[in-house]
Amino acid sequence: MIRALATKRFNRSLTARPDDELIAAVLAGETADFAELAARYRDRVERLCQRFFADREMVRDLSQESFFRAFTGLSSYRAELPFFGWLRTIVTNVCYDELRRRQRRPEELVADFSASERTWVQLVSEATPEEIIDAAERRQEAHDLAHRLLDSLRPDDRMVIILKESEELSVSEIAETMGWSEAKVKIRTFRARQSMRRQAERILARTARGVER
Amino acid sequence: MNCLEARKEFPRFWRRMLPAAARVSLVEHVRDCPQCDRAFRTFALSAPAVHSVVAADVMESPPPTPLDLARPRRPTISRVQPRETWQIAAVAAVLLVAAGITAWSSAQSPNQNFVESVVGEGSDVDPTYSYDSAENAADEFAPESSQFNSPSLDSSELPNSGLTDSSLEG
Repeated sequence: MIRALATKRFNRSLTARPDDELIAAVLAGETADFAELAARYRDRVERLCQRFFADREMVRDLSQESFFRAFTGLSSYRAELPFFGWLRTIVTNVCYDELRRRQRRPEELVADFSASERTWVQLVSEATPEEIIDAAERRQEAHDLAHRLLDSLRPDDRMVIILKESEELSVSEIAETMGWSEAKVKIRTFRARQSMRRQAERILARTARGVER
Repeated sequence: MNCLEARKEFPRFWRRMLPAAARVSLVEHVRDCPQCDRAFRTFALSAPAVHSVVAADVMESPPPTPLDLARPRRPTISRVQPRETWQIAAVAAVLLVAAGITAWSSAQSPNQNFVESVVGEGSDVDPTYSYDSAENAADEFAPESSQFNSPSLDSSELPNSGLTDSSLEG
């Protein structure tokens, strides 16, 4: 009954109400209006979580956790900032916490490849750039291996790579999101790129050695 | 297109957002430049996770409502055990081993009491010695009234130190 009412209200309110109006309504006790906010930003939140984690269940959990934190902390939102900027900080922190919890050693991650991953690396070593891009879109192992490569980075490095390369945030935006200095962001970015390049070169070199044998 | 320009365009090339002319130019450059060719292949290994456009197809369910959010949720538990858990487990294991060694050593000599284990069998100390028996033996030689009292002191029995009231006054 209550859910039906909430859905009805949600459907009615889909005519674009500004974020600020929705937030004010939620803070005034119209908590069902939060569903509209969540619907509006759900895709972007999930995409950001997917940058960090390949596992869909994990992405769903982290997305849910982010919205929960946003809902409970909505009173701390300042209207002069874009809502998604504030929400992105929450999502980033949720993912960062999870990354730190499951921190793993780099050598555990690029040690063994499956047969399909070896085939993919082989293709990357030999095919033309166009063929590589075409194949990457079709092959799940390309995504799996790329995520393993990201897993080999320290949580700080991984955060900065995702925010800089995938989300294309500026240094100052990353600094604000992570609560770091801009100098730290620059250093981390440099080291993260270096570290990821080194790992990728190791993988390619290993494959080349495997072929020679 | 030079190396710097080519490498800067890798992400847009990967996302197919590069204009056709720039795309052709980049492909030609990569084909002719071994360093950039290597750089592209290195880039291609991480690009599916870092540079691809992510499709948000994770949740088929409707967006969370405040009622959903208020419900008790399954905690986000990582598949990898946290580092703190391993540390606690290691300390617990050490304590368990220590307790096991203690239990084993006591089971080896059940009749050996603490004194024996400390002084050893060949010692001159009587293992049957107990504080109570020694105290009772001492009591036999002491008058009951003076057992814990020190003898009373008479000031006349003290040697003259040469200090008298008058010498102090003088």
